Amino acid sequence: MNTGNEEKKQAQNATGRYILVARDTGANPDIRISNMTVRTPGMNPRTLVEGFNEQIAPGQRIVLTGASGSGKSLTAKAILGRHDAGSGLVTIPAGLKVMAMAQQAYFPGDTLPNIMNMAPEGKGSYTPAQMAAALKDVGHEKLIQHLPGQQAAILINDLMAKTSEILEQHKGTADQGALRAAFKPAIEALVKEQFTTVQFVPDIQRALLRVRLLEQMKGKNFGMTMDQIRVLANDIADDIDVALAQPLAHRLRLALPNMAQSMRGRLIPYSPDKTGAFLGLMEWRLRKGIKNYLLNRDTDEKDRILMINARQADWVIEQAMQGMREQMALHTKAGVLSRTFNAVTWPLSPLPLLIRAARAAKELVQAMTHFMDKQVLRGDSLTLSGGERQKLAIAIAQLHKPDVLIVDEITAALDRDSGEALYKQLMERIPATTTVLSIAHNEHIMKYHTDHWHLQDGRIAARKIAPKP
Amino acid sequence: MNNPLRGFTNIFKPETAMEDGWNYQHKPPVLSPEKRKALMEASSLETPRSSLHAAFHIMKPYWTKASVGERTTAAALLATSLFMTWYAVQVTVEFGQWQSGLTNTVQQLFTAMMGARTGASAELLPQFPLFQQALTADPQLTDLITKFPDMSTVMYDPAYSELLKSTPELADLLSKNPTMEQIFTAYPGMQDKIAQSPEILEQLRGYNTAMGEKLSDLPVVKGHLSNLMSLCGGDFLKTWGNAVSASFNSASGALMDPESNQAAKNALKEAWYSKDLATIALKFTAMSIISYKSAQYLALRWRAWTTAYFTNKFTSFKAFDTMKRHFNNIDNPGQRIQEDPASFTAGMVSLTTGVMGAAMTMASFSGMLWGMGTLYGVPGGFFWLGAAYASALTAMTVGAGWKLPWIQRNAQRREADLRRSVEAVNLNADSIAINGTEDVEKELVKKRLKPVLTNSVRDIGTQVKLIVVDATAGNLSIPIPWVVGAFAVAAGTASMGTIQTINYAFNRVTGSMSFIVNRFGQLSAMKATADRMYMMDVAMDAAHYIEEEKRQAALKALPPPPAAPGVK
Repeated sequence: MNTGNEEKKQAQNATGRYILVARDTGANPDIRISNMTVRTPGMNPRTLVEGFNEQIAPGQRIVLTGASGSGKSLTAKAILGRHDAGSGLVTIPAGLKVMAMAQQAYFPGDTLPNIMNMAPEGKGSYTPAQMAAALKDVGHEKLIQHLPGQQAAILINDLMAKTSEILEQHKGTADQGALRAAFKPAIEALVKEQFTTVQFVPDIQRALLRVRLLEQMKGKNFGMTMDQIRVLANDIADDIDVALAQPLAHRLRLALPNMAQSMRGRLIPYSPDKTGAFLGLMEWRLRKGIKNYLLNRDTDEKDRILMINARQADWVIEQAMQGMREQMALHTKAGVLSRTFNAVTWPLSPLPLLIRAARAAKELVQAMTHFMDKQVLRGDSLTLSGGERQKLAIAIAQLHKPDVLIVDEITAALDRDSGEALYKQLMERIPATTTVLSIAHNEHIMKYHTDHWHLQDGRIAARKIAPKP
Repeated sequence: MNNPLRGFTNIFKPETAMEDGWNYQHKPPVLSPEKRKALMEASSLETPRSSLHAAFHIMKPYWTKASVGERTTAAALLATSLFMTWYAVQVTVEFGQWQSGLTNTVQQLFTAMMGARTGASAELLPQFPLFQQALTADPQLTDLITKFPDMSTVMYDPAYSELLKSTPELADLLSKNPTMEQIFTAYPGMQDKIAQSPEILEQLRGYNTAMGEKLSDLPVVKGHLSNLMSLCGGDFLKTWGNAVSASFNSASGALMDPESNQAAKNALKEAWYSKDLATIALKFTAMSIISYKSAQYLALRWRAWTTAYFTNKFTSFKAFDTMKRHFNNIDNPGQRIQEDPASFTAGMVSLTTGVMGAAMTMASFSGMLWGMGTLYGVPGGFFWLGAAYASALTAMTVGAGWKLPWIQRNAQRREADLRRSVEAVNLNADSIAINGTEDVEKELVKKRLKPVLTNSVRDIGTQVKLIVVDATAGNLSIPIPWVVGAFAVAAGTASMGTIQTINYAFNRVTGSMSFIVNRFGQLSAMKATADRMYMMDVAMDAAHYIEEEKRQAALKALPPPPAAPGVK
C-alpha cells in the first residue's frame, strides 16, 4: 500500500518535471492530451502553453496558428516527446505510425532510395518504381534519374513513342545497321534532355526494350527474324549506354593533353615504337585499374554504387586510348637521330616506360573514380533548394502513408500558389484516416483542415471549421 | 615595473607566428594557361604526381612568405637545434673514446693482477698450512686456484677435459662466475677433506682476503684503479670545483684582473674538455635539452603559421565554397587544416634534425671505422661492411613496407569519414530526433567503420612484415662487429679496446645509414600527410583561380562606361 503510494508520488513528480508521451495499448483510437504545460527551457522559464486538454480523433486535420515565438513548434515537439520543459501527458495509441516533417528538411548522407525508404520505427521497402511515382506526383522529375533504372525506363518509353515514326521512314528494310543508325539521333536527344548523370541501362530495362521493339515491329513487313530484332534491340540499348557514358569520356579526354605532355619523358623523345610500347602498357594497366573499379577492389567501401557497366567501361577505355594515341603522336619524333638514340637506349627503357604507363593509367582511373563518385546523389551533398527539399519530404510522406503526420510550416519556402497546390496534394494523397497536425502561418491553407487551434497568451483555443467538401 | 626585455621576449612567443600567418594577404592569382592546367590535376587526382615535389611545395610558404622577423626567428631556432645536434654527436664520439679507454684500462688491470698473482700466492700460502697442504697434494687444483678468477681459460683447456667430464657440477659451476670457495668445495674429493678438518675453509677465506689486500696494494694496480676512478667521474668534482672557484675569484675581483680572468678561463676549459663520464653526461644532457627545445619551438611556430596561412587561404576568395562544389577529391578539409600541419611540421623538424644528426654521426664515425684498418685485405673493410649491411637492410625494409604511405593516407581519410558521420548525428540532432531516423544514421556510421577496420588489418599485416625484417636482419648489427672483430683479434691485430671501438662505431654508422629503416613509419606518415596537404593546397589555388577568372570575365562582360559629359 505504502509502496504503491510512493510509486504514484514518483510518477506524479515525473509528470510534473517533463512532458510525457505514452503509447497506449488500449482500444481508444484517439490521441489524448491532458493538462499539458509547455515552457521554455532554462532557469528562468516562460510559460508558452498552460493546462491544455484535447482529444484528437483519427482523420482529424488540425491547423495550429499563432504569432511568431508563441510556441507552436515547441508544442508540436512536445506532442512528439521531444520537448522536456513543462508538464502533462500525451497518450498516443500504440502501433500508430507517427511521422514528422521539420521546418528544415534534413536528409542523412545516404543514397536517394535509402532516404526515401527511411521512416520511423524501421525502414520501409518501397520499390524504385513506387518512389519514382511519388517523385513524379510532387513534380520532382529530375530526381527520378537517381533511382536505379527508373529514368532509363522512362527514356525507353519515350523512345518507343517515337519508334513508329522511325519505322515508318524505314519501312520494309532489313538493314539492321541503317535502322540502328536511325534510332541514334533520337537516343542522343532524349539522353541529353533527361539525364544529368552517367548511368547505364539495367538488364531488366534491356528486356523491356526488347519486348517493346518486338511488339512494334511485329507484322510490319520487316525482313528480319525474331533473333535479328532482338540483336537490334540490344544494339539500341548499347547505343543508349554509350550516350549515357558520354560525359565520362569527355571528362577523361580533357585530362589527356596535359598527361601526354608530362608522360612523354623529359630527356628522351619517344620514337614511334616506344610510343607504341608505352600505349600498350598503359592500356593494359588502364584495363586492370578499371576492372578493379568495376569489381570494387580499389576501395574499402563495399557498398559503393557503380553507375557504369563493363560495356560502357570498354567503350570509355577505347575512347581514352584513342585520345591518348592522338596526343602521344604529337610528342613522338620519327627522325633518324631520335630513332637511333632510342634504338641504343632500348635496354634501359622497359622499366621507365612501365612506370610512366602505370602512372598515366593511375591518373586516368583516379579521374574516373572521382567523376563517377560525383554521379551518386547523397543526402549530405544534396543540392536542392528549401522548397525542393520540402517537396522531397512530401513525396516521402506520400509514400509512407503515416497514421499521424506532424508538419511544421513545410510550405514556408514555397510561393503561395505552389505551396498551396503542394499542400492540397499532400492532404489528398495521404489516407483519409491520417491525423494531421500542421503548424502554419498562412491562412490560405486553412481550408484543408477540420480543426483550428489558435495559440495566444498561453492558451490554445480550439474550434471546428468546416472541412472542404 | 616594466620589464625592458618584455618586447624582446614577446618575439619568441608562438602566438606571434600565428598572428603573422593570419596577417598574410592572399593575392588573386595571375591567369595563365599553365595555372589552368593545374586545375585538372586539382580536380581529378587524389595523390600528387610527385611526393617530393609535394613536400617542398608545402614547406615553401613558411620560408618564403612569412615576415622577415618570423623567418629570422625560425632560422635561428633551426640553427641552434642543428648546432646542438652536431655538438651532441661530438659528445658521443667522446663517449666512444671513453668506452674504449675504460675497456683497455680494465683489461690492463686484469693482466697486471694475473701477472702478480702467482708471486703473491707463493708468499701467502705458508701462512695457511692446511690449505697449502691440500693444494700441494693435487697439482691440478693448484693450477685451478692460480688461474682464478679467469675460469674461461680452464673451460677450454684440453688438460681439464677429463676432470670436467667426470664432475659435471664443477663444469656447470665454472661457467657461472663462481667464488673460489665454491670451486674448492665442488672439486672431487674435497668434501671429505672439509669434513675431516673444517678449518680448511677458514684458511681459504683468510687466503682470499689477504690476496685481495696484497694485490690492491701493488703500485701498478693502484695506478690503473686511480685511472679508472678518474674516467668514471673522479675528476669531475675537482675540475668543476676549480672552474667554479676560479670564476668566482675572477668575477668578485674589484678590478679587472687579467691574471685571474685567464686562470678562470683555463679552469673552465679544463673542466669542459675533461674526459670523465660525469662531464660527458653533463654536456650530453645540456646539448640534448637545448636541441630538443629549440626544435620543438620551431615546429610549434611553423605549425601555428601554417594553420593560420591555410585557414586564411581557405577562407579567401570563397575558396571553401568553390572547393566543395568542384573538387570532391578533397575529403575532410577540416582535418587537413587542423591536424595535418601539426603532424607535418613536427615531422619535418624531427626529420631535418634527424637527417643532420645521422649525417654528422656518419661523418664522425666513418673515419673511425675506416681507420680500423683492412678487413680481408680490403682497405676500410669495416666501413664497407657497414655500408653493405645498411643498404641491404634498407632495401629489405622498403620492400616490406612500401605500401605503408598509402595505408596511412587511407587511414587518415577513413577515420575522418567515420568521425564526420558521427558528428552529423550531433549536428542534426533536432531533425533526426523528430524524424526518428537515428537507425539510418546508425547504419551510416557502421558503413564508415568497416573501411577503418579493413585498412587497420592491412596496416597490421604490413607492420608484421616490418617486424620480421627488423627482428632478423635488423638484429644482425649486434653480432657482426663482434664476430668480425674476433677474427682481427685472432690475427693479432686488435685488442679488446679495438673491438669495443669497432662495435660502437659500426653500430653508429649502420644506424645512421639505416635512417630510412629507423624512421620508416614516420617517413611514410609524412608522405601521406604531405600528399593530402598538397592536394588541398592545389585545390585552394584552383578555387582562387576560378574565382579570379569569373571576376575578370564579369568585368569584360560589362558594357563600356558612357563617355563623361562634356568630353567630345
